[in-house]
Amino acid sequence: MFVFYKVFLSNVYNLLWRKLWLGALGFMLLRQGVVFAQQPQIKVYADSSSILIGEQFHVYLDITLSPAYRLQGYALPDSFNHVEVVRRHPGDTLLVNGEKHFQQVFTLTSFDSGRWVIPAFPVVFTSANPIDTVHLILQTDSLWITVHTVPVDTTQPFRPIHKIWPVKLTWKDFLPYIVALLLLALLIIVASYIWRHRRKKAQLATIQQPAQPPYEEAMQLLKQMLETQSWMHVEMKMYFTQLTDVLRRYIERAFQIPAMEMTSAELLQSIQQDAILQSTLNEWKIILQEADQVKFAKWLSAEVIAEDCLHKAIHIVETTHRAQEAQQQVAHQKAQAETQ
Amino acid sequence: MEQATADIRSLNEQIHQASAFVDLLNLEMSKVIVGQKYMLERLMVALLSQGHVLLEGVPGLAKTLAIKSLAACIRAHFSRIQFTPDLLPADVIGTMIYNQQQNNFIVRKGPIFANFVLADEINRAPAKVQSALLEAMQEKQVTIGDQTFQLEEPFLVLATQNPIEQEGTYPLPEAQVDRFMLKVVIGYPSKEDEIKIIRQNIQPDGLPTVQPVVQPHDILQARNLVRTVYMDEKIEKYIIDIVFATRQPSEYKLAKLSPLIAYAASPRASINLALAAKAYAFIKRRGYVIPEDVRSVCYDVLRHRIGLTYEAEAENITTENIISEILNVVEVP
Repeated sequence: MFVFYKVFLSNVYNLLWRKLWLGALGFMLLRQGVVFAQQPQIKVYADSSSILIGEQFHVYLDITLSPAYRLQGYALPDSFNHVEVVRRHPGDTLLVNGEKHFQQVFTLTSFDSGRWVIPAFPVVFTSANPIDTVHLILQTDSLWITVHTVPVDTTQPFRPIHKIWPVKLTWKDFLPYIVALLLLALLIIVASYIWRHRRKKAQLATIQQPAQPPYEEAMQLLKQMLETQSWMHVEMKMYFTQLTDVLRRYIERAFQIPAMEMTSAELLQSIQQDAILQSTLNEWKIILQEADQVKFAKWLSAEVIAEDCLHKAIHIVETTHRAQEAQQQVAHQKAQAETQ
Repeated sequence: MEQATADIRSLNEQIHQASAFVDLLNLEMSKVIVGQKYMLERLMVALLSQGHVLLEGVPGLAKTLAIKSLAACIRAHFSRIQFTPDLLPADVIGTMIYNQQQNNFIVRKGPIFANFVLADEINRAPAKVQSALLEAMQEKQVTIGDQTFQLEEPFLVLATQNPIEQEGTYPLPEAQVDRFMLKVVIGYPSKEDEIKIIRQNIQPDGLPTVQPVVQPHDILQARNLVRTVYMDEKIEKYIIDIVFATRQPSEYKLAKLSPLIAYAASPRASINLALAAKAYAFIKRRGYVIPEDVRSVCYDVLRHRIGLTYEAEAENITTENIISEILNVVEVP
């Protein structure tokens, strides 16, 4: 009795389980039918079915889908079955009577002669409802493309390959360079203008005193030394350095002799060779010898000698200046006489 | 201050007396050497300042005669080494030789053991011989085997270089050249001097012989005095300015020299310039240095211590040109 009940209950359980499974299957089918009621339409076609080797052709992918679907993507590889995708043009979407029309163009080519198939590729759709995660995958049609080789007329003789033909340059080719040159020239003009402007400003800011003539400068300094009796107040070495510097600077400016860079012997030699200065050679000798001993041998020159050297220096400057003026006057008169 | 002045005055007098032999020496030398006053003066400078001379000049300019006569005038020992490519260091400094009678090694001193050594055409010998000589010059001593010998003072090396026929020579490296205090370039004598040279050489009695007028110890005493010659700080500054103008020409308004100088004068140049200027002042019988002394020896002290760039060589610019430019710009104190 117990065994009978057990078998009975087991049969009832199995029956119920099968019905449940069948019910679930029916529900799923029903649901599927509701969701994909209007399936998207896919159309693939090419603008040419035969090309020359390396020639490009276009493949059009047209998809029409209802608002219930969303296009997720499609998988067309870059290279497949002797065919290569050269360019993927941007997709174009249109909304007509509540339906979405999607179109994309692909530029393809092939470098192998033969008859090649562009295989079907999958296009994936999802439900517009974000809660629904079911995908719909549709396959496109496959296409054939025939790739021909270039026909060679073997009856004609073979000729060498043409050399590269030079491309004729047009003004457009030079345009970027011309523009760059113009810009550079403009930049230089602007920079030089700014620089000049600033320089002018700087020049205006400093008022330069006109340089004192060499005679006046030397006499002013020597008289100042004489008035202050500087041989009594400053160190003898310093005094003779100042004295010789004034004299050297004077003949450097007035007679264009680079006296500041000359030794005493070289200076005396130059003085000897100058028509105006040679009359003062002995005075120069005395001053320079005394100065050299004071400057380089710690010689303590007597105050009388130091003062005498200063007087000699003044005499040198005055004498040579007068002689130089006289010489200039003679030259001027001569020039005037020549012009008259 | 007065004390210092008195010191310099007494020094001046002392030097004036001590340097009297210079005139005697010049007088005696002029018996055989005609028209090479510049070279003789430089030899004296080097002798008095313990330096050595690198002499550059074509053959036949009385280089050997000058140093031989100088040695004779000072009663000093003279030797000459002709540098050749197969010369060995032992040929210069000496070697140990086996004595069969005594059954031992004895030292055979080389020609470097002399007071005045003429290293003729030094650039014809390989570097190892050159460095053996230059080391002896620097150290003033020679080691043969396990014995070290001091070289007798005064010791002056006069090395010559021939400016022509440079093929197959071993030019002295800069570091070695720097060890010579002076590099003297000598030229041909004047017409008048050359006439005197001809007459002197073809006279029936031959060349006159020089007599010793100075003793070596006089030279050694003079050397000590040379170092006491007073050099004012203005002169020191002048020397420094000249040397620094070779290093930083742009600081002396000589920027145009910068691309021409590969390497500048070393501190050894400053030392030697000061020392040579003192010796020159001594020869001029002065107890103090004046700018003329510095300028007189400047070319000889600096010409081998300034390196020229390829750019300078391509433009035929010499170190003399560079020194002239510097001397024309640096202010004399």
